[in-house]
Amino acid sequence: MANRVVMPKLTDTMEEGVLLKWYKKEGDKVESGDPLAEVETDKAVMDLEAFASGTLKKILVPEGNIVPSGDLIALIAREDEDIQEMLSRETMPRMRKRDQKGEAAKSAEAPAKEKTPLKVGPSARDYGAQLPEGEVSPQEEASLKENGKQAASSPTRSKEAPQKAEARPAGEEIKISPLARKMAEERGIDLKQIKGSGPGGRITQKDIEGAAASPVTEPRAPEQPSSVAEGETVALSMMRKAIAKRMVQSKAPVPHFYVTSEIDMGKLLSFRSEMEKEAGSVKLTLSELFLKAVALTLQKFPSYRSTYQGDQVRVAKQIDVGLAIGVPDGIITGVIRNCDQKTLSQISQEVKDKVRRARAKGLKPEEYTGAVFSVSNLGMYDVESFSAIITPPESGVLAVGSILEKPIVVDGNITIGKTIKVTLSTDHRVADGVQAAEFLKELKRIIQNPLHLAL
Amino acid sequence: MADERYDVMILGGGPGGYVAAIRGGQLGLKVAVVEKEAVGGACLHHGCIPSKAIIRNAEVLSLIQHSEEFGIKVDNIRADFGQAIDRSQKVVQKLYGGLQHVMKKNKVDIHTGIGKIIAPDQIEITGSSGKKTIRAERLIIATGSRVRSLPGLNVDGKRVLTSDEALLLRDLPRSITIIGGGAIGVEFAYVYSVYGAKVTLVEMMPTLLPLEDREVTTLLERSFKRRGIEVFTQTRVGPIKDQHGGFAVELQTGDGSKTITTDAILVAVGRAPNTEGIGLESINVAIDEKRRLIKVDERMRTNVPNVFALGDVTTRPALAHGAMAQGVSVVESIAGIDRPPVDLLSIPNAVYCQPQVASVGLTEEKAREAGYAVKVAKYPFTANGKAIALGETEGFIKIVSDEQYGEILGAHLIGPEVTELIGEFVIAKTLESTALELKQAVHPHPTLSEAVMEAGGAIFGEAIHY
Repeated sequence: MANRVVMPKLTDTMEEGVLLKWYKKEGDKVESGDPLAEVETDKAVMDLEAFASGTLKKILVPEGNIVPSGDLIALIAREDEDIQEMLSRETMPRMRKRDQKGEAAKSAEAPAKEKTPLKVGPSARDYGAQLPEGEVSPQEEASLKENGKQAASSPTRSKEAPQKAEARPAGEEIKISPLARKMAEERGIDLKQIKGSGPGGRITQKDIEGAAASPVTEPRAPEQPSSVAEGETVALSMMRKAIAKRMVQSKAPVPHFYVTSEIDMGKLLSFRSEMEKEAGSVKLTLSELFLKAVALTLQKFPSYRSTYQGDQVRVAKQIDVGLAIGVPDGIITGVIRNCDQKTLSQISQEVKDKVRRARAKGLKPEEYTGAVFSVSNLGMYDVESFSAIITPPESGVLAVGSILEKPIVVDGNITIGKTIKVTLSTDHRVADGVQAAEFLKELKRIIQNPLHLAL
Repeated sequence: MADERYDVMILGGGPGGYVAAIRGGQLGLKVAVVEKEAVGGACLHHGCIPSKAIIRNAEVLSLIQHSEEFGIKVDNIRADFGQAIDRSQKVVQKLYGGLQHVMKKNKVDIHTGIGKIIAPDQIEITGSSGKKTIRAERLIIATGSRVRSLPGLNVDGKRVLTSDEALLLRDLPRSITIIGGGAIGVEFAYVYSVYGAKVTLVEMMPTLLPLEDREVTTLLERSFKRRGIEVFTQTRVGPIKDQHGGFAVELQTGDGSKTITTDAILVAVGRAPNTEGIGLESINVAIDEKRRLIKVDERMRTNVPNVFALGDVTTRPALAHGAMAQGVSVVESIAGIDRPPVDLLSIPNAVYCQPQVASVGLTEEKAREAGYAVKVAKYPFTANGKAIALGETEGFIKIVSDEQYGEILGAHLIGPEVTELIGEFVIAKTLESTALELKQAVHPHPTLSEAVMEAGGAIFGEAIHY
């Protein structure tokens, strides 16, 4: 019996992956655990390992193709095994090429769809709206136009095109109230990810309201006017796509508010140089110091360790703090577990290691998920202050600006001091302005009495 | 003799209790109802049903009074108010017979007598044949409410009435002052005025039907005044003097006091819950001290495990159909059916005076208070073909929707048959339809119901016939 190899779902948010490279060729012997291929997910580049031993009999997805998670990409079997019959029963992968010009098949199809709106009946258009872009083949669309709903569910059609078996037939499989549908469209929520609580699994308003944290479909590209100025379409990296989704997922449903505070950094900076002198070669970055300070502050503010869950909030016990790490094509959050329990030098080592590996796309899922709160520092880029977007299910993020030299008043005298502006973004569903202000007050107290950080 | 044992026992056989009992029987539960008078409760015997029968008489009379508009001349109209009362009692008896049959069919045991809770699983019943105790695992308290009077007023059933007496009073008073402009007050005001009594209607709040949308109540007041009903809002009733076979009633309006004379007084100041003397204290059921109502959660659970309460006796709005829905939901939950609780905002209100008033959901004011970006549309019956053909063009349909998604937050109707039309909005809300679906749902032409569709269109500025 041959073994199926599918595009894995390596992260919670992963919906598809790019097959970057096959390490083995058809006919090669593989042992369970051997790396088979290199796969790019929305977060990182990872190795796909074989779960079975035998011969790699068939590769279905050539390098450079994007495939949805769960689709078959190869078969491993005994060397002498005939896999033809099995292949004939299999659903072929839904793949599309990724190239520099940007997913040619998709962009060629999209304008065609939009230029002929009059021919598309409402049911056919609904059908299109429910599918991730690029899944409706031109032929299929044509058949939909001709036959409406029936075409989608007729048995002959599914026989002819078994690879579309997973596509949703027109409207009927998603039971949803009109109100819920409008809300989902507006908020960019992917209905396929939602379990309906109404009669017969019907999706209701409540379900959509509770779906803040579920994956989100990208908004469609705006319609191109017929005379377009010259430009270039560039394919989004998996990471860029993931960021686009996650940010909409956060900003649309999570009611953010922002509170900014200015902190005198004098003591912290001298504390840092003393620490560095004591520890020899260790260089402490401001991000590391802020991670520790935030972790200590979080001990006192359960709201900022909470996740809003509709009728309740979940308060995390363990203080895992994320640090936004800029990488070539995006951003990823490295998580420092038990951050409040760790010493500065432990945090420093861990941060440096994670930053290095993040830039090489080598972070494992458990290293970039599960923070309760995040810190984002743009201080090195000469920004005075900024506001960050919360990453659900977290309920807050601290945005750290640059250290600025400016006149400050000490004991009634004006002197040149060093200050920094921090902005706290808060999910208003779990905390209010007063708590945000108190959070910042406590953070400020710690930073201005940096001995707390050494304890 | 061993106590009789049940799965569910229900104290009170009104609309909440009897519906719960029937649903329990359908689900195969062994159910007992303890009722001190007759199953059906105030709704069937002294409320909703007989009043609707009497209102029908008034409507027929009113149509005859206006028959000249239709080119029909009727002389010597003799309307016997007593026969309206008699007819309403026949309607009640017919329904009562039917209800007893349905209860029997569903194997519900009816224990007639005064029930008192002695333990969460025990009711002691004092009936004509002595005392007995029944037991059940679950208890539903559905004792309902009774009419409330005013201190110092001696309700004699002839000149001073509550709705209980008014529904049986066969002699039409020449003039009557109705204290209270809620649903009961305005319905009686309509009936008495059609039959020719001089009616004065007094309400303490700034409008009649204070919970309804302002635009609706404004139109209702105007219509009542045109009908010859004297309406005093924001008015308190001061001292009442019994004199010369009638009463002198002092009305304290915003502009000062004024005394009117009246033959009879109808007190319609609401209803009081039956929470006394039923043994609540023996099992420590939590009640709202001020209003004497039993505290329940959205699934009608009291603070005592396995003890539920529903209807007028609870903190939930007092409406027969609300109690009925709660009765079904409680029993289904008891039977292990996974179902959502009854959504308070989808329970409609209906008032049967003419013009009728009906509503569901939030008023425009409440929706704004709740922070919605509100979009409102109104469609008048003057633009509806069927209403014009009927000669009943007074009124409108008003929709309060959420601007962002078109969610129907509330619907407020006044006019012909709107107590029937409101059902469309209840279904729309239950199915989470938006104004768009109302607009797109094809309605037969010509009907009053087209106004529902047109009001949906009006939300988008797209009503066709307006």
